[in-house]
Amino acid sequence: MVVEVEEGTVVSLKSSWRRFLQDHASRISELKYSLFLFRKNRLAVLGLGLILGVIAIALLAPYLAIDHPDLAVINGEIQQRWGIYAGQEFLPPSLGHPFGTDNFGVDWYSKVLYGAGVSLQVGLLVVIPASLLGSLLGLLAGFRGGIVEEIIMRIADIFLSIPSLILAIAITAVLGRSLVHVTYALIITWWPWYTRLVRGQVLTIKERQFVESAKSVGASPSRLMLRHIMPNSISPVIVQASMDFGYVILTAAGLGFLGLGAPPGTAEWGVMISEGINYLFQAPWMSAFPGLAIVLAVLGFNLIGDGLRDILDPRLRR
Amino acid sequence: MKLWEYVVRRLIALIPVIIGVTVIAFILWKAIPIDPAIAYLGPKARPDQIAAFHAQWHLDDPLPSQYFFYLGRLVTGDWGPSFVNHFPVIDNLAIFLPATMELTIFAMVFALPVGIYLGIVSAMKHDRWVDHVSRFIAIVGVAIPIYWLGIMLKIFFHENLAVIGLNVLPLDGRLESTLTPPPTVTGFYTVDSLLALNLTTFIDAIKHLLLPAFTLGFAQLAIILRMTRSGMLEVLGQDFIRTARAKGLSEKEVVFRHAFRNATNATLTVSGLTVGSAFAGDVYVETIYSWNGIGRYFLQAALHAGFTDLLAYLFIITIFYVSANLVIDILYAALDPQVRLGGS
Repeated sequence: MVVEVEEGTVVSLKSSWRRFLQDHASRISELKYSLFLFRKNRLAVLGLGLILGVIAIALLAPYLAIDHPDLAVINGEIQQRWGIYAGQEFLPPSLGHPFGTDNFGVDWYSKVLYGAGVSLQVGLLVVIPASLLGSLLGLLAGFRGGIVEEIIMRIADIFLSIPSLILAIAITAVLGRSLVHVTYALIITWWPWYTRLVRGQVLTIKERQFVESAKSVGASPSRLMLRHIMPNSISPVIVQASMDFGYVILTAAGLGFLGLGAPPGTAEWGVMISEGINYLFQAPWMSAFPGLAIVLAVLGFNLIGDGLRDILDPRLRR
Repeated sequence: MKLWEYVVRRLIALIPVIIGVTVIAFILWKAIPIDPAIAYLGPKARPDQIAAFHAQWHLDDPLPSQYFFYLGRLVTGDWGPSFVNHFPVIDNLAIFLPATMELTIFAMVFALPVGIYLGIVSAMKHDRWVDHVSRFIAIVGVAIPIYWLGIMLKIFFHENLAVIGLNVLPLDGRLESTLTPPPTVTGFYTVDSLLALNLTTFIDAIKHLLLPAFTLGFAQLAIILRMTRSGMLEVLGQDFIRTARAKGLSEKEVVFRHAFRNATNATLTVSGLTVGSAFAGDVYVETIYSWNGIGRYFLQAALHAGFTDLLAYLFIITIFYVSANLVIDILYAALDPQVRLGGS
């Protein structure tokens, strides 16, 4: 695509880009150094590769899969319907069906591929809201102190005193079996971890000199909080969030496995493992492959989280 | 501050947390879209039965008075009838709780020492093959879903694979159906069978424990290993270790008396978390291995609108979880004089 612009605009764009580079030279070299550290961490690169693979599979599933589901709207939720193929039941893994087939003759490879998208979606829909909500509350608690802090932290403590899977099971049991309810339940169980983490960060950063000096030149409390404290307390949140991506996928699939998540027949890894349980010794591949997919996805996020922690840790940096 | 003072203070601080948990449980109970009377009595219940049920359990009172009614029953141990099997909930717990405790304790007894040992060895032999194997366990152990590990083990230990001679362990239940459970003293089949001097039952109970306990313990082992390893690596690089070595202490003394004592903090902290994840893991493991414990009971309750059971379980597990963490915090304070009791 050719865009016609006047000569002057191009020059000013170029020069402003140059000025941008000059202004942010130290940050850019810092970023380059981070990338260098990340590349040097072989496990982190492996993790990144795994996750890029999962994302690619999630996006390309309609092209890579052999069989495809019909979509139907049931009770306001989009649900998948996979076909029934008489005579194709319980075929072991082969070239035509790399992961075998299930009790309805559905190609298990296709279902595992479609499962990637479901898991990533749940991960996004839980980790982003939970980390935002939790971090904001933690920021508020650490910054304001006093009664606000007391109330927020006591509520967080209460949520943290129930093991998260167990609270999530109770919540989905009350709300009813559905993938949307799983995301609600996991947001409710996950936010307090971020609150605790960010509050701790804010408490230490608040005492640092640059905050003191910003305050002395008259920065408003909201500016202090958003421009000075928040950017400096964000790196552990990023590490935690990338780890949690994996754990949320693990737990959401667990709820599906227990019969509290996605409806039966959905291409969701946990549900697929539980469907395999009935034919464990006849068709072990039914449980094996979706589980392997979970392991790889969780492993990927864990390794990235580990790598990020090493990179962002100032003690290990130099 | 004295240690006992710290303990008392922590116990008092637990009270609002536990009250908070009862509030969450109560909100969940009230958020249920189904009429509990119908859930309990079945769809064919007559209107007068439903009304009687409502009156008996104060279901039509204003919310605060309902909450205090619920709290009162919780404190007095009247936890209502089970929605799953219509027995009193507290009797169900008495039956199912020991089974879960036996499984969980076995799993932790396996996971803690092995995890700590591997963590220490791994740090000592940094970047040697032991370290690589340990790190592999640490990385993969937390990524493998407990439910999948259990199922895979079941496949490998099934008769189908008798060729490789792995069909030696039972896959379901707590005892062979031909054996009668030992007379109940503790509710732990292993302990009770020993008390009854019944060696056959004891061996069978142990055999039944092995796979479930390994499945449950593996993830905890991985976490403990990882924390011990990183704690040890950090400590081993410090000056006082060099001093200890320089003054001619044996390597054993350096590692256990000097390094590990200073590295226990991380291990202890994470042990508290693993107790919580072990309770959660119980739900999966008991379901997969048909283990009659409270995890399985809780899942039945969750799947079949067993509300009283659900609330009771939530309460019990929270008590266990916070007490475990309290014990760990006390150990922490007792072991490390640097931890200033009571904080700022």
